Amino acid sequence: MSFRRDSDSCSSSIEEDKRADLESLCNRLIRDLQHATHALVDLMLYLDTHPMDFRARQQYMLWTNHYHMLKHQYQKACGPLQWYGPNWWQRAMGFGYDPLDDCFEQEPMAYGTRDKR
Amino acid sequence: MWIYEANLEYDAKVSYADPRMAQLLIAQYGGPNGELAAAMQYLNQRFDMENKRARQLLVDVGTEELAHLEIIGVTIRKLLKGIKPMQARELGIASHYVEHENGLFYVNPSGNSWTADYLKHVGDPIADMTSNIAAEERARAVYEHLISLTDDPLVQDTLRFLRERELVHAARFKEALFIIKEEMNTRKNFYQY
Repeated sequence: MSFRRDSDSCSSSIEEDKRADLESLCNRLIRDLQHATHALVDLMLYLDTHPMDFRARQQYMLWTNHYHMLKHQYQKACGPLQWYGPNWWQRAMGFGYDPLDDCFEQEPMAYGTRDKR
Repeated sequence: MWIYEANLEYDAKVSYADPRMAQLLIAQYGGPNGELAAAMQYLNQRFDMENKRARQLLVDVGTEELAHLEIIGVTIRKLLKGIKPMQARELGIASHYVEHENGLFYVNPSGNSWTADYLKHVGDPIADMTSNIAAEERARAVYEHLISLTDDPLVQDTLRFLRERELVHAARFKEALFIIKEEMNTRKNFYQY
């Protein structure tokens, strides 16, 4: 997944660096969220048929905490992620990661540009 | 109800645009053994599943199949990105282009529309759960065929992940079938009528 920078905005090099940092942070967070989702989905299905497995339950709880922490971090720094989450309407304005970002000619909006538009 | 998260369950990366592979991949989008058919089958069966564990499993697996449908859709869209009409005609996929441009539709690679006839439901928990196991195994087989039909390592990676998930679903459904039979065994014979 790649988040390209906003090419038509004029900004100093410090701002550019900040934006690059933000971009790598957001890429990392969305990847970590994906990993946490893998673990959670797998544990969830396993617990459906083995709901009394204590160790699996414990792992599920640990992964849920981790997932919620990542989600909070992502939504704070990078934009809306989930239904009922903060600032969901901003997705309609082009902010945040979308699975179909790379599928169109139009460049996706970069992180950290939300105050300028 | 469902909650949408704007993140794919697994990366849908491609190395290069490959419209012919896109046309084959549509088997998993709107084909008889595709993700849509699987999701609809499980989410329909859950309304008639008495065993609570099995019912919960149907909801969870059906929901994950919808996430897979999204991965397949994004992959197909990326494989079709930037294809011009005459290119599509040269590659032999113009029949899709003429109706849907570079978008997607619920059809199989031969062009037959998706139909609810693909779904299986008779209301008998053993019959339904057994057909779910078979549906997962068929989907796994289709993924194996698709992996052997492409040389793009990134597409293969995505397809391998999806194939593994089908195996996990099949394993869970087998356990659910065991649970259903065990519960019915309190009546001594679960085929007793």
